[in-house]
Amino acid sequence: MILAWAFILEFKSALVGLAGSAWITKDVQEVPYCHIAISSTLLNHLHGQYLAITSGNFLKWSPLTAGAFFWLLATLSIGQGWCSWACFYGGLDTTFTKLVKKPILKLYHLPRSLRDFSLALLIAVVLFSFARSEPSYCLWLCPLKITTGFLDPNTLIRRMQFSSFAILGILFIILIPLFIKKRAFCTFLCPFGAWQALVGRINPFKVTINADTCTLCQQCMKVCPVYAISPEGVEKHEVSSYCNRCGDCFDACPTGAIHYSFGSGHLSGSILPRVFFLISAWLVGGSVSLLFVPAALVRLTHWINLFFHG
Amino acid sequence: MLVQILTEGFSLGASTGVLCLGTCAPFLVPYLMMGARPNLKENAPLVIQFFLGRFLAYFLFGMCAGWIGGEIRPHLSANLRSATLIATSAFMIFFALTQKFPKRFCFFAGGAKPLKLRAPFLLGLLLGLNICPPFLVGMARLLEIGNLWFGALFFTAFFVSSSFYLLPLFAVSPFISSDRLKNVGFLASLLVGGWFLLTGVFALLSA
Repeated sequence: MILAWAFILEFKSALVGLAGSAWITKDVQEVPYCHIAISSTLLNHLHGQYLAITSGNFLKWSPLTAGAFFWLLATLSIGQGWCSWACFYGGLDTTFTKLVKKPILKLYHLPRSLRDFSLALLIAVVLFSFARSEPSYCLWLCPLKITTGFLDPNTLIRRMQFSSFAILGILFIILIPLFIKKRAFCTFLCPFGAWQALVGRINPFKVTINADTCTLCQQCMKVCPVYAISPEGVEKHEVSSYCNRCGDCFDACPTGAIHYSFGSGHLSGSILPRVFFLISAWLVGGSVSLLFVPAALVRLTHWINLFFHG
Repeated sequence: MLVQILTEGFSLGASTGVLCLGTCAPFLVPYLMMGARPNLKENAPLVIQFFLGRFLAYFLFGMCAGWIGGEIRPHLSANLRSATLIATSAFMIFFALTQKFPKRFCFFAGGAKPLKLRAPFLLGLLLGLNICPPFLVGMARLLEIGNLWFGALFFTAFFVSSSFYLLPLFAVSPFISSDRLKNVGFLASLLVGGWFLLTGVFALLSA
């Protein structure tokens, strides 16, 4: 959460400052680069890499590859844990889930067909972006793009984009998380979450439920912020690949039956996987937070000084 | 001249096939997720039908472009592109709904099964008519030549070389055949269909 709000405070507010307004911007020629954009424009990148390689210009090729390398490093370190430990967007809807003590609408589990919506969205935006040669998700669906310049010269399209961002943002970052106490943006609207659920399997850390001590009380399912545990999953003692490794279910389990483990249950219950995972998560999360948190603190201090001393 | 036309068509398809893939993949991938069979042998009729439909579209379009020549130049590209995009998107949405809820669509010409059987051909035909950038380049060349048979030959050669880029999609389809992915394919079809439908309508209205 700290990371997410520091990102808003430092990076996004700076963009508004640069552009003058969130509505009509002067000139921001590039779509801001983030992990969500990387996953949703995957084919565009591959095509770009192909063109760069065939053009023989290594300098054009290497910066994009560096991004892929850092993503691979983070995925090997924490896998899907990125979404709860390092993502600078995930903390936003999490904040609103924390504002209520109990969910107003008790929607504790989703049908599998609906939980897979983010995967369908990922496929759709990857293909659409490739077909249109544009970052379609960023241009139309990402509520976090609201403070950034819109590329289209057509005013009507710019306004449609702004409206789309605003509606999706209010719904999926504020209202739905407040009502159901779950991370709605991460669950339904984030293609990177679906992407990590697919490729994060290469990461050795898993969350496992101990069948011997599990009492099938479904407390883990109720507290899971991203609907990674279903009633069928509880019965089979399985956690789906959408699990963000946040650890909320560990604390909620009355018998302590849920643990981090290596691979498919190795060393489950031992302190070792937990220690390794938490160190990895803090290292990755800390490295990402260095991009925003110190600068956000400086900015905040500056604003406080201005407020009190003029 | 004949060899030159064939070479030009083939080269255009070979060099810009990635763009053809970009145009076809948004419709073809969700369709394959919904309709692909579990093994390559069972997928063969599907592949043949798809390419037959696509070939027919290219062949007929090539003939028309070569025959009519310069007369269609002013209005064709923008409006036809939007119209075919709308038709393909509407077909995608309709197909996905009939496959997901067959009982609700029992009124439709004997139910959802006949549509499922003919879907690859129809999809190939509609996607073949979708105007992608390489298609426009080819059309511009034919408008210059203005010959019916040269037009057909040019687009036949273009079809052959650009098809190589689409074939790998069919090769992976058996690996993505499961009930869960069928559902994901259904959702993706609705999203892609809806998105392109809006794009097509918007383009048509603002043309």
